[in-house]
Amino acid sequence: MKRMKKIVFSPAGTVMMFAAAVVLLLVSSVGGARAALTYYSDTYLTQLEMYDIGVSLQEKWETGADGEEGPQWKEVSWRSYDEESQRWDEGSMGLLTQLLPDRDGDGRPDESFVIGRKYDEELRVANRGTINEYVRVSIYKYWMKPVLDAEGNVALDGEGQEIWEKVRSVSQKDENTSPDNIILDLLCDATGVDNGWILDESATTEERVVLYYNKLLYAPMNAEQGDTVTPAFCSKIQISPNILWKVTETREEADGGRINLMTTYDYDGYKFMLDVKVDAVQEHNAEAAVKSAWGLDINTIGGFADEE
Amino acid sequence: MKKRSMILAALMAAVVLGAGIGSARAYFTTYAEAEGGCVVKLGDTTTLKEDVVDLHKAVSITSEDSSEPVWVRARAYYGEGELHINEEGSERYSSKWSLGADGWWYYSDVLMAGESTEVLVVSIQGVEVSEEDLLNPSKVEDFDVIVVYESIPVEYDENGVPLDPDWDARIDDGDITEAAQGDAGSGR
Repeated sequence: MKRMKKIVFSPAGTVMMFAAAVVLLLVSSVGGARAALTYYSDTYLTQLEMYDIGVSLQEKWETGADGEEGPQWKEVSWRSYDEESQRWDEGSMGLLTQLLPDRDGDGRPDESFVIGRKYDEELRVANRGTINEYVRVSIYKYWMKPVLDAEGNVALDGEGQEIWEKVRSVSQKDENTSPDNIILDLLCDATGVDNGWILDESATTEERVVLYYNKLLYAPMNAEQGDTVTPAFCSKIQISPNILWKVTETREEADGGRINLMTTYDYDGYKFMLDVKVDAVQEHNAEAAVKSAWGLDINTIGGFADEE
Repeated sequence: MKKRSMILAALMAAVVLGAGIGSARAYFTTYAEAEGGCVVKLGDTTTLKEDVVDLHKAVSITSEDSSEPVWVRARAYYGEGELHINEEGSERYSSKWSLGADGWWYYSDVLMAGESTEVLVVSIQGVEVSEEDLLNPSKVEDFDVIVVYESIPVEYDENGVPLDPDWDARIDDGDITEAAQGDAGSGR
């Protein structure tokens, strides 16, 4: 025993133990290497399918893209791992494309956008992967203004696309525009008790709104266990009539002693924008995953309602 | 020597623990993002048209094709004599023009792009004038009636129904001023 102790605490013994630890670490990675060798086996493929994560943002359309009548939810942005092609399946169709009706299908809206009117803009999140997940939504709203050419028309880039630039009202106080004039009817509260959507006031600014869904969003293959889509977190969008009174006034004398007071609307020709980003994170070890991926201690906003 | 052993042991522990960090940070995450917008067209251009026959002036206001919907109101000023505006029973009476308590004549309909108001007839009465006077330009200048009109953009409620006009609203041009006065016309 004494001899053994001597060997263990000798420098040579320590080095031997260090070497043994390194060998053990290397051996522990053999499993992964072996798994790689059997990558194409059916068994391995089946196991991998369990770890596909996917999410989509859905917008309610009055009429489907295929012309089918009646409101229906449409995926407007999605990203999930496609097992067959071994790559990410992702895409986006853009938001607010159905805001103004185009009944004759000529590609131009049948009516002008009306300031003050509330338009339907229902949004929700769906799980399109193979594992359950938690989700959050970040909504950005801002104004863009056109870059004009010498003739006063919207300038075009090399590909013939109109050039717009973001109006940074927060950083440029001289701008007369405000994201506050883009009003969303959000379906959330401070605790998520209503429909599961929690407003994170600490992360919300004039331009950004952050919402967390405090319930687990089940994968479609687990639909019998719970919901695979969230309730809508937004229902309407409205532009405040306040913008009608934001003007720049000029005065000029015309013929015959007339005086013309010209008022130019500050928001005329501007584009209001909505940018919605959905983040999803795995169910397993969710609190740590949320903290790592989103930098948030979920308990500071009430925690998950149905944490495993 | 013992210290060296402890350092080596600590190093081993760090290696073993460090090997686990990678897997601990590898969480499954994904995202989806979409954006879109809509252009806001604001602004209106309205013009005043005046047709003068004898001592009667027929006024109408027209909104240009690209204009946003507006509310309009008008009033007339005259130094002497008596003005009769939109007299009931007269040939060109319009029920869409009504006199407000403040002296302005208010048009009841929203003026949409490309539309014109019905005429508002302003007549000078109580002034003795001969047919010769009416043919004499210098005399005609004596009957100078000034017509002023104002327009304001239409506000809508949540359902897209026009709200009643707020003529006391103030525009914000950085230096708060009165409601926008679109044009002022003067004539006989």
